[in-house]
Amino acid sequence: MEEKTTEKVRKTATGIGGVSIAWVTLFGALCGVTGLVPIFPYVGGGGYVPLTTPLCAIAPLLLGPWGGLAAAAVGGVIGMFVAPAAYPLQIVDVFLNAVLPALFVALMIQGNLLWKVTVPLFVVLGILGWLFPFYIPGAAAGFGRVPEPLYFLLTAIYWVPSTLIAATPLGTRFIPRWVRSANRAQRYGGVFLAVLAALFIWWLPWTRPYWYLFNYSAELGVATHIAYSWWVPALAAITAVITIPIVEALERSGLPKIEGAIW
Amino acid sequence: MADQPILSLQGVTFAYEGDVVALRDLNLSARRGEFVVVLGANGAGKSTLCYVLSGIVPHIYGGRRRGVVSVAGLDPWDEPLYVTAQRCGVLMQDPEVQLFMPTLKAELAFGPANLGVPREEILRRSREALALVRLDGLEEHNPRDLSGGQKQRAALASVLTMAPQVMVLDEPTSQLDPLGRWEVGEAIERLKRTGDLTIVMTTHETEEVLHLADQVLVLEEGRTVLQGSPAEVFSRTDVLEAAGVKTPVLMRICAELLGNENVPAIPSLSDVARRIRELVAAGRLTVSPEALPPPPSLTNNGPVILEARDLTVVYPGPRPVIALRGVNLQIREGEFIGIVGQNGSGKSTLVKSFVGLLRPTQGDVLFRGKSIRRFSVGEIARRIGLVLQNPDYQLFTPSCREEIRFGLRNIGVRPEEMDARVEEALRMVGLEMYGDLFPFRLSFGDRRKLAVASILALGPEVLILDEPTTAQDHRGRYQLAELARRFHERGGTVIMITHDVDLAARYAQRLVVLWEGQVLLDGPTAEVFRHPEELRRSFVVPPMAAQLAAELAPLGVPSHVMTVEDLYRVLRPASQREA
Amino acid sequence: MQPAFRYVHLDTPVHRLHPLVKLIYVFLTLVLVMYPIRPTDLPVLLIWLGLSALLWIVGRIELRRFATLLKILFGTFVFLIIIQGFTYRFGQTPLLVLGHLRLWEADLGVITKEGVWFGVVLSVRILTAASALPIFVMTTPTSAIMTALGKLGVPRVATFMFVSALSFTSLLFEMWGSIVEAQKLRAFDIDRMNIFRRAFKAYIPIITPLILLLFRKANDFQIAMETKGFGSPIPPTEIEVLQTRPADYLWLAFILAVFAACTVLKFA
Repeated sequence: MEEKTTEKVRKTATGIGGVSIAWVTLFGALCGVTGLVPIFPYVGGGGYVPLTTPLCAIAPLLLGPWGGLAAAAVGGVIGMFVAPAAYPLQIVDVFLNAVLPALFVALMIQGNLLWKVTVPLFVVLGILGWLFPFYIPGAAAGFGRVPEPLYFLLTAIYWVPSTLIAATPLGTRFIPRWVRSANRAQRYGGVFLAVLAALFIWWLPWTRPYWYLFNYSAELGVATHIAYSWWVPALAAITAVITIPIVEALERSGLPKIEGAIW
Repeated sequence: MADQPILSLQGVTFAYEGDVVALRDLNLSARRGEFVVVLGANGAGKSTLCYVLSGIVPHIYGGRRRGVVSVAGLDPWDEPLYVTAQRCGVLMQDPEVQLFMPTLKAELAFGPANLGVPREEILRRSREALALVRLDGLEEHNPRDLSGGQKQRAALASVLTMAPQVMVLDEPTSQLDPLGRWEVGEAIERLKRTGDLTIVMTTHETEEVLHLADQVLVLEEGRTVLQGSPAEVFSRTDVLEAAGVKTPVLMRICAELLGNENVPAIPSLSDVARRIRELVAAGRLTVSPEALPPPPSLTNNGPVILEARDLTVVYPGPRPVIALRGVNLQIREGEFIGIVGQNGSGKSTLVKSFVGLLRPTQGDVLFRGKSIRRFSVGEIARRIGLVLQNPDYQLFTPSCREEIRFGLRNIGVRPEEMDARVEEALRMVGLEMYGDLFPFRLSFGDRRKLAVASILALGPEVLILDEPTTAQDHRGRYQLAELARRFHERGGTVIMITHDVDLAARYAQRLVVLWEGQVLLDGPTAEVFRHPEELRRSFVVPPMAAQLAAELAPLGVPSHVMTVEDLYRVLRPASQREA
Repeated sequence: MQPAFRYVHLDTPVHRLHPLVKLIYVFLTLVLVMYPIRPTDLPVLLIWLGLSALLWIVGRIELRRFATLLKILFGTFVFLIIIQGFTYRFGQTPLLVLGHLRLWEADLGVITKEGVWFGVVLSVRILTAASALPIFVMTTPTSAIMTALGKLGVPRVATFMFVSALSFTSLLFEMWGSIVEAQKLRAFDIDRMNIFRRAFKAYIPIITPLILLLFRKANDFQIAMETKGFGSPIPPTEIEVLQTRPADYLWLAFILAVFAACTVLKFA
């Protein structure tokens, strides 16, 4: 065997979107176990939002879009096993509680042409959120008649601003830049806005299956829209407050950087 | 063929990405069945050597390499990890992350199953590996439910099922208690006896590998400073000390006191005692009991600062665990106490009860006569400081200063007072240069010091250290204890949980031995070490110097000899005495 | 922080049942509870709940686990009964009149008997939905789940990530507890914080070191799995062989029959 001088860079055999499976698995496990940590009450069902949801939301910020999504999926499934009583809709809940927050945040921090996907997706989700369950399946499944145009306008709070953010330079240019900025204020603002837009749009698919299951009345549907209009920003603020110290710590840690992550 | 080296490194230099050179011009050769021990201080390059041999470098940690490496006929640099893994297995320090399957059976099958080994062969290898590490019968157990020593043996077995020709063990016992260390050591010994496997093991515990090693390599800053047989290497106490490697106590005594004359290359306690007796009889060594001052008396009349009164703590669960059973213990102001006992004896439970992290099931804990239940978390933190084993459980801020400020803010220290207290705490632990550094970037030893600083800044009257020598090398092992000593000198009360009897012998005035949740022995440290039978029940072995002193008692060696330095005071070459 | 429901090693017919049969039961539960609901659907739900109770009993799962389930869901039940009591659009018989506030379709000042009843039916629906997964979790070992997922064609990487993540949960619980303790030692009293202060302040000193520690451990985990051949191109060997026994078919037939009966009863 002859003597040589060679150089090789880190290259693991197993990875997802440039991040090692080990990181995805361990972060996923963390997202899962925090299903037992209630952080914030939700008014429309007598329960709590677990820490899983903000952690899944920030997974794409820490692990890049694909790694974050995979970690959120693992976290959702683990959450289902660790706290099965909190996942009555089983695999549907895995998506609602874990995968969707990660997906929407991942979409919000992409500064490339993904807005072409994000904007139509948000519009479709907005329209579906308006129609389900009071129009589809509607009266056939025992649901009442919601007052219009009030109900449409209330639903619009949850998808129109997010869609506008995603479609304008704020979403296509500034938020992706701010979340990676060295300026702390900009970064807080960027993460807050990204998470806010993501959580607003997430709220629609997150709530509707349970409204169907709980057979919400029209009055409750309207009231819940109003009540959550402050709740979503509060959850986004909590998420941003938790995220920044983690991101700053990771930046200083010397751990290998992950492509697509914000640190 | 048998004499052909199975493992060979020639002129190997390796630098990690970022040009941090970790190995320099390293040469090593080992034949089949040979046991190579690699020693060195933290950061000497031991783990890097393991990574180079097992292919972890460059496939997981990238970098630049020069030189020739051959492991069982292949160069791990050029082969994918799964190919190298079939020739060279690797076991790391932390068993927790090496076990990730739901049952022991699945854990052992994981490696060979990934390589498509036939099912029957996998099951055969699993049976053999489990028998070798003495875990047979536990196949269906969840590895997470095993004890520390069992976990590491399970991890070892899971590497053995890959049927490697070379086994690399990177400090396999460093995170275990004495019982776990003994269990894993025994398994490694059996592995060596099979004779087939070439083993490369890094460690700080020189005494544990002394009788196993065929070849010893000592590294310092990536360079070889000593290489040869154990007898050759361990006779060079000066070089070892300079490299931050502990010389086995008996070999040190042989080299420094007996001039390595008429003692086997690897001596036993009785060999050394016999030779000392011969030298004393020949008048070449003198015994001066008066040279060693009597141990400090325990007539501490200070007020009782902490007291466990009939303290019982039960961990609830399907099978409740009684961690402490009616413990009565009084700790007086200004004492320096060591608490020893094997894992599960109740040491951690006792100190966690002292700081209110655990509530007594029965009985009470009193601080200056008042029940600890009356104090809030903040009030306790201002009075009793507990420094846990792993500093990484607490460090989270962007700088060392912020880390200390965190606790001060929690107890409501005024902003104008804050900076002075932060700087004082950093100065006390010698980290004043690193105030703005991200704590995660400090070495493990410095992170522990920072943890101490963040506790000392709160101004406690009692300082409790949990295992101050964990994961420290020979050079750094007493750094935390020294901080505790200085705290004690300023009038503080110190409680130190440890498995390290040398540490207890050196620092503790009083020793408490716990066993199955009860106080087994309690008294002056030297006095406690005179009860080897009781100590054995708790897997505590007195320091080697104390054992030697007991052997030499008929010569007049006093029973309170506990350290090698004590022994050197009492036993002196005749020429020195005359001088 | 410890999970209330986790696998308990016992030898019962439910534990021995093929995991795919149990997964089918879990999936059918989801389908059943998603059927549109009317107040008259209570018998349908009770029949399926009866099946769950049977599995619960045969699987020798402790009753206190069921009590835990009820405790977790209690808030939701109260919410449903009160909210439906006030807002049920077909409510006609007043139980309690607090005033009159007619909004669109319901009089929000009146709790109606029909509304309360519908709230009870919905609570049973939620209980039915929530009781299936704990049975699966408490009676199925992870190794069997892993094999069953493989049989369902779930990619090996995904199965591995799930299984290893599940195995790390106990380590994470330990680490979480240790970090909380370490911060308490510096007078950080998370237990005395109110919900808002806790949400904004408490988790940073816990989550940040936990993530740093995890990512540090991740390198060792990566080493451990890759030095055991994970990611090799060689087709892996199947170690766990899941045998299908006649009892599995009988249980499957029974579960399908109960499901069919419920469906007929619902839509007849």
